[in-house]
Amino acid sequence: MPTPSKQEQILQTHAGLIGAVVQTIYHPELNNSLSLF
Amino acid sequence: MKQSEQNGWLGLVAAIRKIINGNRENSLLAGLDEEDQVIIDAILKGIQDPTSLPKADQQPDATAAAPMLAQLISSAGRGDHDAVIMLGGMAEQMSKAGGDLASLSAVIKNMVDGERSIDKLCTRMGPQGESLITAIITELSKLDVH
Repeated sequence: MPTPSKQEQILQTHAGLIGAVVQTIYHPELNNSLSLF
Repeated sequence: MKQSEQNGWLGLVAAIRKIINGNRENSLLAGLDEEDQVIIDAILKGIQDPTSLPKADQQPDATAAAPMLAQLISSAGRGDHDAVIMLGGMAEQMSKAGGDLASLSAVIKNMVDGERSIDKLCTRMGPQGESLITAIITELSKLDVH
């Protein structure tokens, strides 16, 4: 694994993606409400 | 190089698909590069403990996320359902963050639908949002060629 600071940088860069995946798992009903698409 | 970069993202997207389909094994990390491992590890930990999730509004440089966003937008534009779901989740988070991220969430659909004009996409963007859109369009232009 990378150093803690590099790890933190990666986490912050991809926070949106990480949160989105977790949110999708906890709230699968959101998939259907994504009227954006 | 471009090929391996694309394969790297594909590996990450494949691992995310497995997680969405119920896989929670640490073996998902196998074969991924260190950046992707950090992302998958954070997702697995976030599923167990949502308070461990990193905060999206602390992003120091959102343009670093451009290749991943471009990959998802390109896949979604080709009808990839999982990419659409992931982008939708991200758009929802971005709209809550406000500012340029909220403006970006509003034009993601346009990019999925094929809009590549930076001028049109950036009408409501500040400088930070513009640099992110420009980075995404640059990445998309590489992907669109294939």
